[in-house]
Amino acid sequence: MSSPLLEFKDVSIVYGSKGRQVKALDSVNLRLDEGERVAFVGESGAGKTTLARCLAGLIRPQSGRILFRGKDINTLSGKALREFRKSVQIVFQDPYDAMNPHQNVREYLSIPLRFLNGMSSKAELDEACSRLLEMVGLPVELLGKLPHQLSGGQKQRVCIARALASDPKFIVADEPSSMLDASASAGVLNLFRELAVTKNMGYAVITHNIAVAAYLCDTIHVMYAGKIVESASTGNLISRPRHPYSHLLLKYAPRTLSRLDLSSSNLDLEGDIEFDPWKVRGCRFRPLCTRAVKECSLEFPTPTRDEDGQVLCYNPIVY
Amino acid sequence: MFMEVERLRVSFPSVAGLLRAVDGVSFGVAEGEVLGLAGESGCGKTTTALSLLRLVRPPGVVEGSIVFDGKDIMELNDEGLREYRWKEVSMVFQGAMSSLNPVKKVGYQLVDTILDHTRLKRQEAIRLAEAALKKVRLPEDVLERFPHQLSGGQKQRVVIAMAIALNPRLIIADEPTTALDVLTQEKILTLLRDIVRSTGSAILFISHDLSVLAKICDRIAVMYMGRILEMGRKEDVLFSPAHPYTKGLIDSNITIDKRGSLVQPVGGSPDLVVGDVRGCRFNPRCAHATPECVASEPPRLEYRGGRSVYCYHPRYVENE
Amino acid sequence: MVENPSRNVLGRLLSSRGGLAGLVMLGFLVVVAVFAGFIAPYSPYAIVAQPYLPPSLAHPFGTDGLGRDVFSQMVYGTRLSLLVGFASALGITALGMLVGLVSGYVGSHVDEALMRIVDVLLVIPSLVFMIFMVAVLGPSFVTVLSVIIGFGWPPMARMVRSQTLSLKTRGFVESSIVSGAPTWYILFRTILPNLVSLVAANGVLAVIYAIVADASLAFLGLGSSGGYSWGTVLNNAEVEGAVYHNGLVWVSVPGVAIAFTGVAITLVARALADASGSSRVLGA
Repeated sequence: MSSPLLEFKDVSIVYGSKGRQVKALDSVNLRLDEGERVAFVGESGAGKTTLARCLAGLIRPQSGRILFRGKDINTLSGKALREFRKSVQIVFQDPYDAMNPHQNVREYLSIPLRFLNGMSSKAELDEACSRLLEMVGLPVELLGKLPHQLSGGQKQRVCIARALASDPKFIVADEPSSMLDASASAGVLNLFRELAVTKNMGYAVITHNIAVAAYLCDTIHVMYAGKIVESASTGNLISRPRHPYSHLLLKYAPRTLSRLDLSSSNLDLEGDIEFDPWKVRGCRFRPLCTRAVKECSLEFPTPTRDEDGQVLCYNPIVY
Repeated sequence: MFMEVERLRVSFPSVAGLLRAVDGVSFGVAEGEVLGLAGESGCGKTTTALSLLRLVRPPGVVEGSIVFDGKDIMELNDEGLREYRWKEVSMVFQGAMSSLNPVKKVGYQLVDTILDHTRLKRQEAIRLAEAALKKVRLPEDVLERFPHQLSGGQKQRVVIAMAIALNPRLIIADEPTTALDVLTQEKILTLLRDIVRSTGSAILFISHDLSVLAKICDRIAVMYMGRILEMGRKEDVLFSPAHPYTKGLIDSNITIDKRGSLVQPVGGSPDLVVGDVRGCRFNPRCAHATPECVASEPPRLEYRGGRSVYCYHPRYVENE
Repeated sequence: MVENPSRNVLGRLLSSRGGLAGLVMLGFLVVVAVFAGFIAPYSPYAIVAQPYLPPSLAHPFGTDGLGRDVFSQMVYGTRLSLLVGFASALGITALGMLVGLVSGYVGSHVDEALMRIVDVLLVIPSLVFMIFMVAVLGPSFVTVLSVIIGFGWPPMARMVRSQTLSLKTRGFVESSIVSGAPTWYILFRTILPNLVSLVAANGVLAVIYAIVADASLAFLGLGSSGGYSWGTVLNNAEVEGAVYHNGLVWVSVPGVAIAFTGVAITLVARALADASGSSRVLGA
């Protein structure tokens, strides 16, 4: 494939002060091409949300570079920055937080239309807003409503509409359905799948729910403690997870209820999972790992790449 | 059934009319069982739970009967309530782990909870607190820590310790695993199962997550807009749901094996019940609705195995 | 803490009993100020009777050391006191808000520089410096106003900055950023509307600060030259030895007027703060 849309080169983001430093992203290397549908799966604190906000250009990494079509995002300004924002958009996790309580739907949708698309006339804006609502399956009457008059699912759809305003090539979706009820969840996720096809768009879904990742994406990156510990196509990851953490996630993933083993099963994790991964030397997953070997306490493993994807483990599961 | 709830109604006056948060709910909890209360946000699950402890404050109005061990909870005086709350029935509130007092040591909060509900001396309360911590498998030094020094899972265990400290016969757990990661969730579920096994307490487990309920409950009741639509053994309700809403919920649940197919959401969204609403609450969204569903309350149909459905057109039930 | 989106400020104010009472009290003062010419029987400068007269029907607050009617002085003084009060509060609000927004949003060096200035201004004994500056620059309406605003804006800036910092990370602000909104839009159309109640409540409180500051300056003889404010009355009382002539009413009236204004302002500020739903609002 030609030059990638987005790239992370050794990106690190560290929070905290001396005593306890949390590496939300630890020398992450990543490549996203146009049209790709990838998921980043992991628990909270694994760095997923930080990754999402980096992709959207909201956070500056302390080290490493984030490239958009080969150019460092942080050096962009003016027209080039606008091009970036038009092409890469983000949908935030909390729809209740993502809308300005003082602006109605029309005003909210008009922001990208005005500043990214350069629209100015009222007629132009109105027409564009109506079209956007239609795209996400919402009635035009909602244009005059304030956020508190909308349901959670409706708010999330409005946020998706806002992201679509500039006809982006790529959307980053941070936990798109975790704040929504079952009624609204499936609908919003289906909307994503549909839009990707009709608008020829790629997306990166950030989620802690591997079932959602599998439902929406072709490639899955599993994150743990600031690192991408395994990358594989969805099919391969689901059937042959190689990293012990991926294996655990899949073991406890939501499955169709009739196939769920409903008898009580005790968690067979090594040790207590209440530990601080940032204080562990070597591989940060070691305290939980049933397959740890000598090398694991020395240094974090480097990636092993093959046609299946990549995995960061000294003793991956083989099939 | 040591806890029997009959025709429970909780209403709140509002500008728009009388808001019926709980609108005629009847169920029972047996000793040592885990009864799940499933439903989306706003369906009345939490309000139902609060009424069991008489925690619904005015202007909320509670009607109906709640009978625990033969005692009518609605009739208890202050003394009776003090003996009942926390000692017989306790609760893990929704989001409790985020509501721990950030400036007080965890130990203090645990001991204070015990002291609030008993007339024990501080020393005895501390002993009970230590015992409770042991039951939730937290080390004793947690007593000396502040909430921000604990992880999400640890905080949740502290809150559970508060709820079991006085060995209640029924623990109400309101979304106890919702904000937690998958692995931590599993740990908490294992813990709760152990508590049921070792102490014989029953749990009323409230959650919107069917996968979680599937792992821990014996029976499940499905609530929608203030009413119970279906109730029965977990296997019956989840494998062969009788009510169209239950089936819709199960179908719209995203699971690993559904990745290649299209998951069908339940169209529309739930509403608040204001004033008097006739007929089945679910009919605006139901594909099988007929005129009688709109006109009047669906009947309660009972099946073998303690199963009941409130529906004119139940699906997927074999023989009665 | 985000605002109650109901767009009717007056409506919110009027619906609370305290707010209503405060508005009525303020309204009374404004009426007195506007119609001073009709209400006051005499000019504040005119000598109309014997000096040091006790309160009577003709002179409800008595007369001062030169025989001027204190009541008229107070009535006319309302004008200047309120003018200085509201004008200063406006200036403090505008300047404090601007600095707070920019400082909180832009951060880094700009923020550091501005906050150092704030720190210095807060540490300086403001009254002393105000006296010094007015004495040096000569008392006039503009000088008094500038000095009061100059020392009054830091608390507002601090409060607005801290709110801005917290609002900066909210989803809707980030949404505006990724939607290409320029900085001015984010500051004034995204963040500011969510600060309005907070700013209004504290801005209203600034009025008392300004009136007291002005009264203090006037009491020390540094008030707007030729102007009559409540502080001027108090200054006269001191200079002309009111206490020795049993002019107790004369001495207390300015203080009572300021206190009355203070209560009115506080009631309104409270009502505004409550209306926004915030719990920790009243800072400055």
